[in-house]
Amino acid sequence: MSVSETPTTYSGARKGEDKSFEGVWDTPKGIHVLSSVSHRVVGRRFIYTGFVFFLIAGVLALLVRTQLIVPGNTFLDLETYNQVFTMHGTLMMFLFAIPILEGFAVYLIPLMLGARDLIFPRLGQFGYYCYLFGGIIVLSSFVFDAAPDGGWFMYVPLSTKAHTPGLSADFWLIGITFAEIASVTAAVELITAILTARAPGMSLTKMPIFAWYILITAFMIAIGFPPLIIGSILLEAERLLGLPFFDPMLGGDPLLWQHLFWLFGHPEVYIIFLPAAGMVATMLPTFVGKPLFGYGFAVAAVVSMGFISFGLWAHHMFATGLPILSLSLFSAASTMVAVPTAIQVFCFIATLASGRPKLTTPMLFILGFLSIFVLGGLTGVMLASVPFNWQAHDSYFVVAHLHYVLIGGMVFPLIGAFYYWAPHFTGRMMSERLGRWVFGLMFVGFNTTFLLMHITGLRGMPRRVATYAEGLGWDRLNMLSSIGSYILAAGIALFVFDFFRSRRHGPPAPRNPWGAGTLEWLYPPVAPGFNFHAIPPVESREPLWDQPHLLETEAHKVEGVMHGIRDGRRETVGCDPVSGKPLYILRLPHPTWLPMIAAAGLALLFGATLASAYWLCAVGAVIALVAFTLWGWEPSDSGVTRDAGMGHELPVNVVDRRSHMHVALVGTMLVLMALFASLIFGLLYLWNIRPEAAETLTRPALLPAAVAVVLGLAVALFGQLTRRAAVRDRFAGATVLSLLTVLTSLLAVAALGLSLMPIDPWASALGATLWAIGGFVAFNLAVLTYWGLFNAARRLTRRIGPGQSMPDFNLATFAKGCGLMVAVAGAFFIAGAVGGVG
Amino acid sequence: MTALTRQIVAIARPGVVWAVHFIAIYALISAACAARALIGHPTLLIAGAVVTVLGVALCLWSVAAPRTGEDGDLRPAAFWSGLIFALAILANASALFFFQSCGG
Amino acid sequence: MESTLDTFGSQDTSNVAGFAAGETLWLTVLMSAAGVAIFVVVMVFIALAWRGRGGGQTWWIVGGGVIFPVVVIGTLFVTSTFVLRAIAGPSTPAHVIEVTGKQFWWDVIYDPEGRALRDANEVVLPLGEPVEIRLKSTDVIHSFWVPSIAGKMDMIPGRVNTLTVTATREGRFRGQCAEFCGLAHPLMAFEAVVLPPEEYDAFLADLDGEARDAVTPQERRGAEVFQTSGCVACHRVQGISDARIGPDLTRVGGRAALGAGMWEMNTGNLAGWIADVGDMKPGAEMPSYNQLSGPDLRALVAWLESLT
Repeated sequence: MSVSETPTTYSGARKGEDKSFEGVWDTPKGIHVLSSVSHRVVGRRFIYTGFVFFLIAGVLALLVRTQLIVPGNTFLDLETYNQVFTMHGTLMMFLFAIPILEGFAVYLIPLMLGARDLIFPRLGQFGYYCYLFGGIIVLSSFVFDAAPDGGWFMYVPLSTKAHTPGLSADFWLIGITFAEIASVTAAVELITAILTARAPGMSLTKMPIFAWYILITAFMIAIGFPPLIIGSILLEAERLLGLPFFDPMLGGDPLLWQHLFWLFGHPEVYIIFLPAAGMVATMLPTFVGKPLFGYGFAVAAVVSMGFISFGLWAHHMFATGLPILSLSLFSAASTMVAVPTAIQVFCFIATLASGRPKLTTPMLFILGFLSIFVLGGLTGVMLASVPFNWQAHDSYFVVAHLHYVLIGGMVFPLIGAFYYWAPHFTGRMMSERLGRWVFGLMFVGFNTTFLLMHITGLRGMPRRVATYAEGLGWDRLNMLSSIGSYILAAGIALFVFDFFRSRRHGPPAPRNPWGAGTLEWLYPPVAPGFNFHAIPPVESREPLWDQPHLLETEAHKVEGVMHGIRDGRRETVGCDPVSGKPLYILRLPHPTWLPMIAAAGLALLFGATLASAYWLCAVGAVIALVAFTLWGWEPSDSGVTRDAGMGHELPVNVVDRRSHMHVALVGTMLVLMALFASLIFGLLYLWNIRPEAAETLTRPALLPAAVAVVLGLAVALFGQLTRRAAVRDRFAGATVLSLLTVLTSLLAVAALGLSLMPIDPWASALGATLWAIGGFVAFNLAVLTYWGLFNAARRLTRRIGPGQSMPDFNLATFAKGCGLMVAVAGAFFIAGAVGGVG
Repeated sequence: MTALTRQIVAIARPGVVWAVHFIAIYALISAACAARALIGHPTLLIAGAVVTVLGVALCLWSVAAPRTGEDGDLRPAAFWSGLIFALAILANASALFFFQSCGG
Repeated sequence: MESTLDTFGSQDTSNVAGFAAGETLWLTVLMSAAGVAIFVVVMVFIALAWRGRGGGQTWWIVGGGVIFPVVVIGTLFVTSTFVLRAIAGPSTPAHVIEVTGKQFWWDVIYDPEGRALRDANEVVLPLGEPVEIRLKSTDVIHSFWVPSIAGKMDMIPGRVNTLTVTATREGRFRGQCAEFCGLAHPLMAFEAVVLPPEEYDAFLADLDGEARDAVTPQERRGAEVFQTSGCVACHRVQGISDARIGPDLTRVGGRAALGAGMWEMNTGNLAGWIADVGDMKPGAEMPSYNQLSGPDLRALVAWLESLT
């Protein structure tokens, strides 16, 4: 065991120099456990919280089915029913499905890839609290008797102030947007973790298939969530400030909301499906005893699904009167997604055939997944046909279809995954016998409920109706569906019982209980909080199968890199994104309250917005800002090298394009660009769809717009020069240049503002959108300004010392992104000023 | 670039090509069929055909990519990714040629 | 006159009474059959795989994952596109009907650019003649759907969507709002009545005239109550009032259903509606007229029922 060496040259953050390896990694005790940043703790919290939301949403579903059990039922009144189905969809989609899958990813990815933690542990904690507080805001609407009742899709104009006065829609918009921060931060974190923190030798082709699924999913979240975030912000601005983005009287369009919503909403379905399919692809080989058949096919299929899923959004809008050509395009893209789906299904089937499958409980759920999901996929292909869609859309046929793909494609694998990975959480096995009952009840209950709904829908019953007339042919079908839903619920209840029973009474899990091939089973459950004493080099996708010495030696004696501690810090190994070659030592933060405080500050900001207590908003914003500042206010760790074992002498937190900080920054830029692109889409859409309204718009001022373009380029240039100076260790030069970056970005904000001055944002949707674009760019420039000043301050206080250029290196990338946004926004303003936006 | 990096690029490139093609077709339809009517139907068809031929060609570049790499398992991935996206591009474009107008 | 309420299949996509619904039905049957067949084949494959037949084979993935789906969806896409062209392609409608969705009822205008004949909560279609239905909304998004006639089309504020339909069978069919439109969304239905062309013309001619005169003393009293109790502020009865806030009542007694297709039109329901609309349809803008005396209410109901 290497002892921490005397850090003569090390000027980085000092945190646990008096502690042993185990001591450094200890989860804080007592109330301090809330300050834990470990992915194991945060992942479990995501999973358990998500499951609680699942149970709440499930109870709401039972209320729905109970109301519909007979025609003309008065169990719920119309208003309550509308709240119940709205919250059912909202909780299931936003607060259960995505977070719980991200929870599994957060928990499993480092274990599978050979990392001691996710590389941004504080971000993980921050995301969790955003999710928790956002979820609490949404749920608290019940307490204030203001539960959202406009559907989980919040269509305008129904959700505008005129038709939904009161706060219910605001609870939805603010709470959900807040919770989405968690999804997006987790996505950036997962992308970076998968690309930069893998065991030595784990090239992309040796990566467990689950990591591929999660990688693609995370990219999809990073691009898919921004349209909804922008849509929600625009809608909240319309509700709160009266900006007319969606108002047809002022050149807006209700369909813009639908475009933005489904630009998110359709990829969302695949975002939910892919991680669950990744779980299947992970569990299946274990029970067959052979590797996944057609790994390359599966990777190609997942990549193509990730792309194609963004080209389907308008098939939720076939009945809105889009041009037939558009319908035809979206119909074609929707049918094509069947190909990558089928490839995956046949990879699974071929895997089944390549060995002797064992009929365990997780395997039952996989078989359930295959049968239910295939049927749901087939009805999905039917729905891609425009004429059929016109009949089936918004009928119970679609309800049946979406539950087939979501419950079949996600809940069944998820419950299977609980049975499979439960030993990781509890150290004990769940019951195989009860598991069979859980599966049986769920399978029978599910099909009874939803198979019949195909018929109910084709018999003309629309969705989202609190009651229906008797004698139209829907009575018996609904009765049976309701009975089925109780059976399904009994299955879930039995599962919950089994989970809690097994925590105490389940047989203790042996090492690698299922005989799996992936690295998360290296230790006997429960693995230690730091995951690995040493990170073993990996030579295959199933290291536990192909490198027998891993299981032959005791887990803590397995040889690998990063044995012991250096400088008393938590750390793991950073790798080349493609080859998996160890590149650097990745220093990780220790437990801290700051992310939670930052999230609490934001919660105060959002909560106070709901209560219209604007001074409290300011307080919340200040709390969050202070917490974020302290979060980053640390000595930089880079600039030294340490022995990582196995002959690797590695730099700490290397300054490189491949470093985790830089990859994460690129991921964040992807999110920001997607947000920006959503606004540009909105602008072009309104301009194109309402030419007569565009004619009457006041033009932006030309000269300031042109100046803004130049300033945008200057921001990028100064950012890049700052990087050059910093990398060459020119201390004063870097400081001056970063202040110049700040100055030019402030000037750019002023130029954009001046260009927009003639336009009244309340007068037209297009004007409001131009202002929104200006506001978004200004927000980014404000962040850049703050960051630049922050870096300069750290430099002056010697928190960034000689040889440490990472902060400026990263700032340059952000400055270039901001410069691009300014230039593009300025170009649009110029186009508006010269050609007239009309 | 290492052989593996080339393979990864060959897998992802057709997706990007598909995305650009999709956006182009969507933009063309929106330009031709919305209230503003920026372009006429013939322009739509010609521009659509051009981007489609380009798109398919770029995808087939991945299909034909040299299949030398350190890892055999990813070899079919680039091939199939190119093929799937080429088909998807053709499917998207075919939407244009069934109708003589924006329809509806 | 029997309403569509309580009638099995009156709102059923397979109870075809329109060209589009008919074309779509065979497409539905075709796709469902193919879907079931494919499902069975895949399940058989899984069963064979389970027993280890054939080992894992690359051609399974190529065949089952690429070639077969491409052939199937290619066929489907082409077939479906031909159906789409048939039902939504260019056509020359013989009639135009404008339907405006409102929370939570339907405002109907026949021949909007010509005679502009108003009615509500019932859409009458001529048998065998293409009709262009123009769909509008003045508040939130609704969706116009008569499953027996054609697929649905949304009614969106600020837009005019069109749905061209051709009825192929006489009868009375039920339609319902298919886009969630707020509190009473489930209580927003209507009836589509398909009449032979000559009867359709007669129906329009009838709409053109003033409401039937009150005959009996009770009906006359009802007409007076209607004019003195505030009803005229919102409702139009041709020859008496011209308000356009609520549904047109010129021939309300001639409709088979009440409250936008939700209840049988009869004396009891009509009286209940006027006296306590808030209970029968929460969210409706009409206030409950529970202050009317018993005789006034009975008179009003009698008069309204006489308006056929």
